[in-house]
Amino acid sequence: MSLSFIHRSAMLCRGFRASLNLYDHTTRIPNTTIWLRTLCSSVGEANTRILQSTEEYKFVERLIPPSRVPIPPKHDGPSPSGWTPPSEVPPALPYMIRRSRMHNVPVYTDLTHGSRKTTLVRKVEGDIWALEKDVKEYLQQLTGKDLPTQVNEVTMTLRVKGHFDTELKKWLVEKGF
Amino acid sequence: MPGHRRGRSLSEGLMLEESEKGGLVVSSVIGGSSGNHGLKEGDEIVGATINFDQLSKDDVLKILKLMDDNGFDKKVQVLTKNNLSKSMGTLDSIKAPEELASSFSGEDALPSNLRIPSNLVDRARAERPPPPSDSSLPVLRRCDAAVPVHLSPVQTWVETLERRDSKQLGLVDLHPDVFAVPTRIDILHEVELWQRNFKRISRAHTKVRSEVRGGGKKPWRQKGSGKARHGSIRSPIWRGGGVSHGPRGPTSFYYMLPMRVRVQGLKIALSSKLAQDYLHVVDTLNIPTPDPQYLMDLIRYRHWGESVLIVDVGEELPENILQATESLKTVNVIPAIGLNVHSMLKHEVLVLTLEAVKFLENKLLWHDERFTLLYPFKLPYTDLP
Repeated sequence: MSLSFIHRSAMLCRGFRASLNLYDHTTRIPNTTIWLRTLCSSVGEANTRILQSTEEYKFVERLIPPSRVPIPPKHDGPSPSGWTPPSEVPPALPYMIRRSRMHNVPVYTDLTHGSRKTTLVRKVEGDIWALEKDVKEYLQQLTGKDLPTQVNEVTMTLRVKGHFDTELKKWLVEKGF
Repeated sequence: MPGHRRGRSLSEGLMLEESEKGGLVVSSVIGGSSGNHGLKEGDEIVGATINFDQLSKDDVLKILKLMDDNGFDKKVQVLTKNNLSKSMGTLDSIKAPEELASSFSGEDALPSNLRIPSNLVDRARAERPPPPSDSSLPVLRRCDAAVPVHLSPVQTWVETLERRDSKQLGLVDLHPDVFAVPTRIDILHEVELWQRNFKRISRAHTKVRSEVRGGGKKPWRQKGSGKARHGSIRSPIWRGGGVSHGPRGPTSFYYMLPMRVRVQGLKIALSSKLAQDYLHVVDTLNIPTPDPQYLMDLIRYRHWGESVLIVDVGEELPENILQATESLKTVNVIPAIGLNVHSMLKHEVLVLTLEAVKFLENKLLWHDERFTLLYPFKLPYTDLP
C-alpha cells in the first residue's frame, strides 16, 4: 500500500513538472531559474532508497474472515447456551433429519396472511411418512388435537398447522437428531 | 417356420455362415425383398423374435416344444403381457392397440396409444458383461471430506484409456452428497433453462409509427373527400406503417438463479449420470495415439454410449487426447471448471479423471458448509476451495 502511494505521488510530481513545461513557454525568464521547492524533490530522493517489506502484511491477513462455518467444540450433553450436539450414533429410525449448516435443528415457523401459523421441518431423509406419523402422534399427546400436516415428497419437508417449533426441536433433540 | 408370408421364407432366402468369433453372419441374400426383413450381407444375427399373436394355440405349442427338445430353454425369454414394458425394444414400432396392455390393468402397463421407436433402448449396452463382482480390486481413492455418519460413500470402478480392452484398475469412493443426491428433475430443468436464457440478447427491433420515415402530414382533409379519415400515412393500420406492439430494441433475458440452486443442479446431474450407469472414472487421459479412430473403437467396444464428455483438471491436457477429439463431433474434452448441466445432458456419457473427481467434490461440498456472502468471493477469504 505504502509503495503505491509513493508511486502515485511520484507520478503526480512528474505530471506537474511536465505541465509546467508545456504551458509556461512565454513567461519563462532566461537567466533567473526558479526551482519549485515542493514535496516532489524530497520524495524523489527517497524513491531510490525504498525497501519492500512483507512483514506488516500479517496485520491485514489476520482480519480476513474464514468462509466455512467452524465445527463446534465437543460437548457432553447441552452446552451452557442450551445447544445440544447431535448424537454420535444416528438413531435407528427409518428417517433422518440433518442439522443445518449452523448446526441447529431445522424446524422453522412461518406466518402467512397475518394469522396463518405453520411449522416447517426441513432436511428430512428417508421415510418421511413415518416421520409424519410420529409427529402427529406426539402432537396429539401434547395438544389433544389431530393437526393437519402436509408432506412434500419432492422437497422432503413436513408442514404442520400451528407454531410448535420449540416442542418439535426438543423432541427431535431427545431422539438424537 | 409356417409359410404365411409371401415370397421365400427366411431359411430359403438367406445363406448363413459362422464367423471367427462364433456368431452367425449373413453371407448372402437370395430371393424377394418381402422375406428379407431388411437384412444385408455381413449382418450378425444375434437373436430372433417370434410374435405369437397371429398363431394358433397348436402352433405356439409346437414351437415351444421345439425349443424344449433341442435344449434351448435358457436362451429363450418368454414375454407375457405384463413383461411388455421391459422388452419393448424387441417388438415392432407400430402395434395394434388391442395387443398392448391397457393403461388400467397393472402398474407396469403402457398406454395403448404409445408409439415407441425401435432404437430407444440400446440393447448392446444392456448386454455388455458386467465387471467381476469379487471385491479383490483395491480402493484407489477415499473421500477427502467427512462423509455424514448415516451415509456411506458410493463406489465405482476406475478404468484406463491406454488399451482398448484393459480391465478395471480398482475402485474409487465417491462422496454421497455429490454423487448420490436425490434426483430433482425440476431443479435440473430450471438450471438448464437458465443456462440457455441468461446469455440471450434478442436483437429484434421494429419501428414505431413515429420512427418510420414520413407520415407527418395529414394525407387528405378530414371531411368531404369521400375517403376514410386518417392522420398520417405511417399509422399501424396502413401498409408500410409502423408496428404498434412489436419487439423493441435489444432485449436482455438475463437473470441469475441462486448460487446454491446452480450447485445443486450440478450435483443432481452427476448423481443421475452415476445412477444411470453413464459415469466412468479414468485414472489419466493418456492415450497411445492421437488417432480419433482409436477413441471411437474404445467407446464402441466398451459400449459406453453415443456421445462422451471427458473432464480433466488443469489448463494443460495431454496432447494426444486433444488432437484425437478435435475432429470428433460427439466426443469432447473440457476442463473441470467448465462442467455444466447443459453439457452433461447433451452428452450421453461422462468420463471423469481421479483429479477431476477430487476437484469437483472439493468445490461442490464447500457450498454445503460455507457462510453466507459477506463480500464477493472474488476478494480474499482465508479458506476458499
